[in-house]
Amino acid sequence: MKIFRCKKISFIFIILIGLIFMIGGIAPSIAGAAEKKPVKIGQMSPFSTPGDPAAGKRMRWGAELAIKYINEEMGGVLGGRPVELIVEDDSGTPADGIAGYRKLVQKDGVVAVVGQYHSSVCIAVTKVANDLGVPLFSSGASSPKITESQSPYIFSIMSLTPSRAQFWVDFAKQMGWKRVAVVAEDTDYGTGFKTWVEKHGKEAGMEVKSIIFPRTISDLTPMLLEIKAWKPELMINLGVGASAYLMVKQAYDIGLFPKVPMLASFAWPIRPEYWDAVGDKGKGILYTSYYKPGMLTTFLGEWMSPRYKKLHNEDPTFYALNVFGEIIVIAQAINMAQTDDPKAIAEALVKWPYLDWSGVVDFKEPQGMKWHNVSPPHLVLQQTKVRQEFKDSKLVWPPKFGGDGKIE
Amino acid sequence: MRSLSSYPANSGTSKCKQKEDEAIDLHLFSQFLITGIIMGVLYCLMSMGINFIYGIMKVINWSMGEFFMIGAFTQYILLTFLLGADYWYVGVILSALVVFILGALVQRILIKPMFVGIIEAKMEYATIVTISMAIFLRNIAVAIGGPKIYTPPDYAGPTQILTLPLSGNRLVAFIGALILLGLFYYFIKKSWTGRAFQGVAQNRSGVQTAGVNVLKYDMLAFGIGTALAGAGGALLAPIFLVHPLCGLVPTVRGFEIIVIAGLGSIPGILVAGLSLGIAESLGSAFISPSFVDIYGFILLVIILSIKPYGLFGKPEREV
Repeated sequence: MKIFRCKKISFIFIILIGLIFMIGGIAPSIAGAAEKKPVKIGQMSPFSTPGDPAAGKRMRWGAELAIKYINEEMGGVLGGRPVELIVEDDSGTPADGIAGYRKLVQKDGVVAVVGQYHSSVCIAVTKVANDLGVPLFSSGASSPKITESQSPYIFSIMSLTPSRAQFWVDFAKQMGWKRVAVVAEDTDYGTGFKTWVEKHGKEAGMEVKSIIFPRTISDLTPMLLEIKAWKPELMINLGVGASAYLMVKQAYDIGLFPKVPMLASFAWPIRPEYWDAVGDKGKGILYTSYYKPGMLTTFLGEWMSPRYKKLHNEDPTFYALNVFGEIIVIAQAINMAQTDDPKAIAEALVKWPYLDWSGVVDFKEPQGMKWHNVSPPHLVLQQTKVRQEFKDSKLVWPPKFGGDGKIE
Repeated sequence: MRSLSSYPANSGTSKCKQKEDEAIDLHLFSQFLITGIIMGVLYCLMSMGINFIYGIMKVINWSMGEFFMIGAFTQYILLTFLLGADYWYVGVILSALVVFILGALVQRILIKPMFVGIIEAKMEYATIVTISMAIFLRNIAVAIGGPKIYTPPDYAGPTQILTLPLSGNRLVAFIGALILLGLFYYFIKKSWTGRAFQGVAQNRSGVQTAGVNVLKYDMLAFGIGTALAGAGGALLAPIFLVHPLCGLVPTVRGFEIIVIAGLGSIPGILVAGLSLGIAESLGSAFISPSFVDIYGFILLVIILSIKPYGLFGKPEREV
């Protein structure tokens, strides 16, 4: 379990992490002839539709800052070798993901790949990663099928579908809602959440109505009319990219939202693109997040956030921070392994704990879906104003992070 | 098969409750029906452009979705930065004009060379050119607009058609599409230019003897066909959102409609468009909304199994 607050990080861990960072400076003699040869790290994310390119773009911004941190602050890896980022577009489709991963590994020679975002892509690439033996990080893909593969090369710093679904059901229960509608895209992401919300909802004594829609849909009105007639108390929007925005707009047009609260499955309502796409109709949406600007982070998070904001004029998203953290974790593992051999790096990732932007990352190997998984905490926030910044979103739930349990 | 009476308000057993249930069912049914009719008319606009180009040039333009997308982007730019929301109708006309010019240029530069001696056309060339054009235009949109999703300001506030609470944008697009389809029909049937187009569609060789410059009409037809798609994109911009792939679904529906209607039939397109829109909407209501993309294909298979040339299509005669 990732520890989110610095104060909880034990003194021993800090010493250990310090040692890991220092080893980078001890290693030049070992590095030998390969001293100046860059170590390549791959990022494969959606940079075009039908994926979610807005997420891919922000993850790339995080990755670029990680490279800058490693090369300028850590002095490279293995005693001075610079780190280079190689980027590939999976466009949110499994076929492109497989081709992209193969290209990164077999042509570019990367030592690890971060930035996996769409579950359906990550599941497909997981099998190839297992064959090629180069670590693959899920930075945003939440399907438990990824970690359940128990591949030694799969690592996930992400909330998994079952726990997020349980969180939503707990939230609905706390709000006194008993009728929950799920409108989900027909991908592993959407159908996975449909299954788990139905399961947890039933256990909590709730009625759950689910509708699956094709990912490339342009008109959700028939589905939304059906949901409206069912009279839900909460509607969970499990669209990604254009369909998520379309659902907000068309639900507003038929008088479904904001009369019925809508919960976005992740933090897309903080993007300026959201407001460009839906305008004033998007006000009042609830969304799931794993972080809110202003929360305590490690010195790595402190280093990254202001630079990101200065460069891109917005607060970093969780996914941007996550990719940033993952690359720095990989750099630490390279130093610990004292080699750029991907198999040795995979072993080192499991052998020692590392520090990322939010705390200590410790990849355990339990049976089942928690294999090599580190989960962040969950939050429900609300955009109470049009074009509200991430940092100004209202924290609704849970109370342990300061949520008051009220929506506007 | 699902029943609409699975909703919470529909579970009563008394006579009064039963009547209320039926009213709710009818209410929901009428909402789905109206949604289907509106979408059907909007699909027709796209289909009409594809059909017109095919009718004149015997070329299928695979890049129609991208012209739709350009129309949508043009409308977004015009309304957001130049005209403002009140002049949305001016934006639609200008967007159609921009797409007309672009379409005519594409025909002049890229499609025209496929005609050898005016009559003989290399169809495989047109297929490759229009598919390449689709990929090129889509990537240009990504390069210029980025991966973002845009929307122009609303054309009108929320409204209601009978039982259906509706976005004003959708009503405007519906009426706009009807007007455009009416104007197009009038143009083809009543104007001299329209009659010349009919002549070109019927016999490219024969119409030349009457002094019609076929290649000029090809260029105009391509421009008008793409302009219809562009106008559709502009009308639907606030409904379907504006992004590089926004023309994909209307194009697929456009081709489905043409096959259902039968190539070359304008009344057929209206009937097929409405049928498709209603089939999708009622299929979503009574079977499952998850398979909304399949209902059109099921309708297509049923129609083709009964009428192999489509509802209004006729077998081509070759001499």
